[in-house]
Amino acid sequence: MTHTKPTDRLDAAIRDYVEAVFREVMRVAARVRRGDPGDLADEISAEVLEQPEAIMARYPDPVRYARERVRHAGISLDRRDRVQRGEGARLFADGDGQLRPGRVGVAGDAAVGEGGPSLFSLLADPRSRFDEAAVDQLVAGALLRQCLGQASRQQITELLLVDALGYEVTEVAALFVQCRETVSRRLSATRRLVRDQLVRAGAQEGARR
Amino acid sequence: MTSAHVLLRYRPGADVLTGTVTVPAPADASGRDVDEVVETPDADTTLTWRDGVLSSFQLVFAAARTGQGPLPLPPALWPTVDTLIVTALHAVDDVHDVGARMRARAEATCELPIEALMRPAHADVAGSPHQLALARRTAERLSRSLSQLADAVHTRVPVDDEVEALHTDHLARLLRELSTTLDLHDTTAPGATAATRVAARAGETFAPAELELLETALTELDDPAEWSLAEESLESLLTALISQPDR
Repeated sequence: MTHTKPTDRLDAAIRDYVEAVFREVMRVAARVRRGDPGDLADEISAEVLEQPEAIMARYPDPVRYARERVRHAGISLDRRDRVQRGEGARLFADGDGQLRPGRVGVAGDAAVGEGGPSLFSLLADPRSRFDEAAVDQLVAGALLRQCLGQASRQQITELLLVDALGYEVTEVAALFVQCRETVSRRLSATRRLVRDQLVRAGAQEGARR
Repeated sequence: MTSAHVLLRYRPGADVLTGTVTVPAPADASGRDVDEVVETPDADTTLTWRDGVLSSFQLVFAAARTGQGPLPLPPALWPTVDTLIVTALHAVDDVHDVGARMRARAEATCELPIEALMRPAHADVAGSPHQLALARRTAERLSRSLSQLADAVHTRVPVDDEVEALHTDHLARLLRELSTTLDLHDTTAPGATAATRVAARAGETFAPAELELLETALTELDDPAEWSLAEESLESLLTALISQPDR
């Protein structure tokens, strides 16, 4: 990858971009009121400074980038919360003495397959480098399509609404006029299906190597 | 007279001021519901009131706004805010590293009587769905005009004057930030307009008549009732810039 030689104008552009990202994160986070907006703005602006040119090329508008990034941070937080409350919080000692989640989860940042981040995070993460993200997203997209091949349209919709877009199970149940338990049961079955497919895909990949 | 402890925090890199107010809890407070109101009078301001007393606040583009009128905070806070902003900006004057500037923060505290932090009596006016839809459409049109204006300003970046080129770039980027903020928040952004005004005055991008037209448009953008006038002002300015791309 080539790097552009910094000039005063490029430095100023980076500074203006980071400042605008910081301000929009503060604007949005103050309304959502989850934690200290300044902490989130610090974190996101530091991320931008790690690879400013790549992010600026991919998201020319800093305000829109900040929006996307805050939304992604919010969904990740929700998913992580849910996973920690449910499937991923219980850790068990493995053969090597290391603690690992008892069950792998696709709903949050718990390990999937060989240990990569969740498929949905890969598909939507605005932080990722453009060149790497393009390949990762293609692979993750293909894997997700393969995993969802045996799921019904209803199952796919519910999984996307909850795990990708961050809706609560109760909200999805209300949307489809069904009781929460039914949607929750179906969602668990879909997650199990995806998990089995992922394990199978991981095993096939391992066998090929 | 009970006093409240106010902690002010200013980030000079992004020009954001936040504050939290700690009020000693009254003796009969246990088990009582707290009446909390979050006010967002515009895209750049958030005020939280608890039981009618200021609890926390956030102002985006605080320094830009101090030079152009009173801040939307209780007047008792103004002197401390002014001192904090001026000293913090002075402290980062020679800091050129972007990361260091973004990490910089300054704090100040003050003790004020609770009476000075009471919520002013004013009615909350919520627009009808029709009015809100109308505002949404107007905000979209204004956002487009501001984006076109930013493009036109970019055509005026001088090739032989590095300092002026930096000024013009900065102004164009602020116009784009204002444009997107209006579009995404559907409301006024007095901080962004104030910063744009400061940037426009600092450089030589505009002729005096054009600058006057821009300032009029920015003032009109701060009041939703005058958004239709702002559209006209921006159109006139855009026409002037397109007819004379180089100054």
